[in-house]
Amino acid sequence: MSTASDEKERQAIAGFLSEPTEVRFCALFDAFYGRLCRYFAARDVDRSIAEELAENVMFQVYRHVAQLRDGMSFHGWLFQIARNEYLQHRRKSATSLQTVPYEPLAGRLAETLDSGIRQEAEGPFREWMTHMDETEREILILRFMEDLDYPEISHVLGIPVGTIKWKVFNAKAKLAAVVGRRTAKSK
Amino acid sequence: MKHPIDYDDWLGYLDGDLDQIRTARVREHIDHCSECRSTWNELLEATAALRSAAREYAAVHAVCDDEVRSGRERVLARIRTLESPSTLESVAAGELTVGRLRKLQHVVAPVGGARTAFRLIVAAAGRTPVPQGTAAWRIFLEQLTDLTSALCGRSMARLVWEIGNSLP
Repeated sequence: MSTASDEKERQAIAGFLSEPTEVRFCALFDAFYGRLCRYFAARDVDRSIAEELAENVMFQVYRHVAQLRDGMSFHGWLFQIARNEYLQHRRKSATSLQTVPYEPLAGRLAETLDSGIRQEAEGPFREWMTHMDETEREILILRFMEDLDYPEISHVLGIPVGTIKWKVFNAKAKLAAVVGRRTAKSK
Repeated sequence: MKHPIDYDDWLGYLDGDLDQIRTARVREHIDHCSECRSTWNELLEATAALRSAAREYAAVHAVCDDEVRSGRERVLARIRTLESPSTLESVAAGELTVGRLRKLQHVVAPVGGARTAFRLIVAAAGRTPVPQGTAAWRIFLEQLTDLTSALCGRSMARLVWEIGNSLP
């Protein structure tokens, strides 16, 4: 089913690809920035870093739009850039020295409470993702949160479509067991 | 019992993507096989739960208009920095050769600083309408002299004009 936001995205993509000017880029940015922030948040990235990574992705889109070949899906290309950005961020975080700046206790307490409330509002998605392996998690986020089709996911991850489908099926089967247990518990 | 439904059939049936023949085959099997009927119900429930959980998660992580606006401004600032020339090579064209521009930069730099000298040259080049034309160097020098006069004084501007005109 096509929604108003799908239509807005389609127009923004078509506009920018036909004329990659700053004005057209602004429309594209407005259409995709939120989605990118959400994608990074779903990969357990802090809000402020998610925004920074989303900005890096859009910056690269502006710079490298000429690399988007005919017939290539914009969504597949966009999320491929986003995934590379995420992997790069993860590599950097793993190698950088962890430092803990001084913080007043009250601020930290408020932050903990805030994140607790947010986690509750987030629902079970994050918890369910812990039952999946890295690739399954990535596929489910792209498929069910970002609404990418199988060929687009295949392009993002560089995995054949058949393998993607197989993994989605396995992930659903795994999830069926988790959801089943949850339903049984709530009865 | 042999189950003639593979993972591709299951996914296609769940997504409503199967053609009529495969849809009929899957439906018929599910009607007669209690094991597959149970699998079907579980997969259906899991898919619906996953869709709803993903929507719930996405709603919590939505960004507001102000966040989009400030993010957009930051990226546009980066784009503008990228697009503004950072070397004399990117400004040079036609009569405005790198060698000539560099000599003028060396003239202004001791008084105005290297960065200001560079900016003056970039600005003057930007005001030179036809950089490839034969009159381009003269127009460029006039612009540079005006700008130098405003920023570094008349004596420096005169020096720029004289040296600029003597350059081979």
